[in-house]
Amino acid sequence: MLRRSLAAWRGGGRGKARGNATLIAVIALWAVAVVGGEAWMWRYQLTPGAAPAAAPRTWPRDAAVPAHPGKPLLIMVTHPQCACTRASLNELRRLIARFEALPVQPDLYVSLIVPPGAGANWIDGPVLRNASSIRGVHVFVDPGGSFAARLGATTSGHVLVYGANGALLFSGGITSARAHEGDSIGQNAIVRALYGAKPSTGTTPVFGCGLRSPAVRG
Amino acid sequence: MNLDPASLSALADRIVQKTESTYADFVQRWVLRAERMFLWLMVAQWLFGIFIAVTVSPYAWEGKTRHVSNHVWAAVVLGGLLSALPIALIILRPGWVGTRHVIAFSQVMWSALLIHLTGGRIETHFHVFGSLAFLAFYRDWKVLVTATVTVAADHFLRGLFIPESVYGVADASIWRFAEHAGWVVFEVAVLAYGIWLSLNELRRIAENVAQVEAFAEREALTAAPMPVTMPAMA
Repeated sequence: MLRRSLAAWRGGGRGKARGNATLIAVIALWAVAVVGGEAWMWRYQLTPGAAPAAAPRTWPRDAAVPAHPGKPLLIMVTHPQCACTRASLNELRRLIARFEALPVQPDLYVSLIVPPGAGANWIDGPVLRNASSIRGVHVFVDPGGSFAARLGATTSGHVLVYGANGALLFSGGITSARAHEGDSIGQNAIVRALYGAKPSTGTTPVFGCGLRSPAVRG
Repeated sequence: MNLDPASLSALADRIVQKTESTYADFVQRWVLRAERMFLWLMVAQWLFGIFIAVTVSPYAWEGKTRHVSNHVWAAVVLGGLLSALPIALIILRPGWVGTRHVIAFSQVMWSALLIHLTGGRIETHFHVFGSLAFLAFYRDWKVLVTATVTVAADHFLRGLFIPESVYGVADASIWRFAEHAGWVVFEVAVLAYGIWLSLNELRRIAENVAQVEAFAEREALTAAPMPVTMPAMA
């Protein structure tokens, strides 16, 4: 089509005008396809994971990780193979830097879920390396993802924050889109909650990989 | 040698015509040179986009189930689409005014795609400013206008409908849009000034070439020695 319109254009006169019109139509179609492609891309990016179950309103006493009385607690649930979680961890790193002025530093945890039947090297990869390199973060393995399920998390990158009194302050994601770094409502809500201000929201959507296989999730 | 008024007028006309044709030739050569650069850039960006997608996020996971990530499809299909028309026009319609505007639009959309593929990294936003500098190679300020309008429209529409995708928050003020657009306009203003200076310089060179050639032609015709005075460079 492009070649034909060019041949018509080279023909001169009326052919040239027709060729130009065809060429401009090709360019317009291409521009629409490009804009449509970008819209498709953003639709995917802005589609959150499966709706989480309700998180415990207070930190479970028999939880896999202990909560220290008088200290807030932040935990991020991750899928060790999820590439999107890189953005969540990078945002966690930035978020923690905003805790510096807090009178009491929160306990920080990142869990790596291991689905039933996963291989021995399932947790190896960028998520483990990235999480381990964040100052003050304790990384632990969640066999079978049972602890994540207990917290109501269904999507990698889910963050839960409990206050010094053990009450749930925040449950949700800290990225504004899937695998997308940058400011987010979740981060601002967590900072406000920990500094004692009224947060804009207590929950945000979580963008990332599903923690459980479709068949398991049902 | 003294020239009669008619010969002098003919010589002046010849110099003006020669200046215009030499200037147009210089500009066109720059345009073709810029397009050759963009030909390789379009191919390189496509390969780079695929490389980033395949190395950074090859798969999306659901528990133990994995499938090829949408990032990979975006890099291959959308990236291929973004580069395909500019490459076709560079090969089939080199130097056409529409070719450079298609390239400007494509280049800005490439910035959006690369920002997406690298997970919204702040550093990738510099691709926008690098692209504007590359587009300035055309020495055509109108190309920069196309790129600026594309950036502004992209930010404005996304800010209107999906503000989280640009600013990270749903309630970003209109001033965030103005701030982003302001930096782009700042760079474009500097580049446009540079283009204006460079085109003036190019025209002066074309004038010098035209004068030298016109006098040389005249000298050859009369076969008499004639003083040639080069105009002083401003």
